Amino acid sequence: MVPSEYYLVLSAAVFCIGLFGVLTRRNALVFLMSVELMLNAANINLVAFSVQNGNLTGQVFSLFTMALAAAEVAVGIGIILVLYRNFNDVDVTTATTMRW
Amino acid sequence: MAVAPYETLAFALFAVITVGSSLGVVLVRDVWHSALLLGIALLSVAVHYVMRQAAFVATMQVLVYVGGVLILITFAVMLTRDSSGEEAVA
Repeated sequence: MVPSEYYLVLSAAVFCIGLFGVLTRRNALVFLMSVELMLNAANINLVAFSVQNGNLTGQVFSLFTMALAAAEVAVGIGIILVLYRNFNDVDVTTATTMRW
Repeated sequence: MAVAPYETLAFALFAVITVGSSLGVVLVRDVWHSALLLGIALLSVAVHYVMRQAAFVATMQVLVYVGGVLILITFAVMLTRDSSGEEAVA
């Protein structure tokens, strides 16, 4: 089996890419996809350490994370559709109604 | 333990696929292409789960993420139109 450190490096790379997307893109849909990338990086870590510890705790945690991610995407898509209906685009910088 | 060389080779191949498609998600201008690249990234992460002997988690990854989350994102891409015309990220 490939050592766990390789998976940690892979997970860190995917997490950094997702963080880069969150911080640099202004499209709300790309924002949401970058959050999904970060959650997948966390899942890679959980599964890798699950094999290293020899029990299924990490895999069960990753299943919980998947359910949470699905619910979060459902709520986020609803918010993005309402944003588009009110502002006619999905740029996150145009919604300045609540800015004081 | 000794690592079989083909296993390291397979890990390297799918790691390159994962990181490359993830970079494509955040760098490509078209949102639809970003969604397709996200699907490739999620499927390659499922392959990594199989390599870590987590077959059930890989199955749930394909069912929940590719079958649910990606379809929701596809609906959002089809229901919205990006009129901001943001420039490509360098």
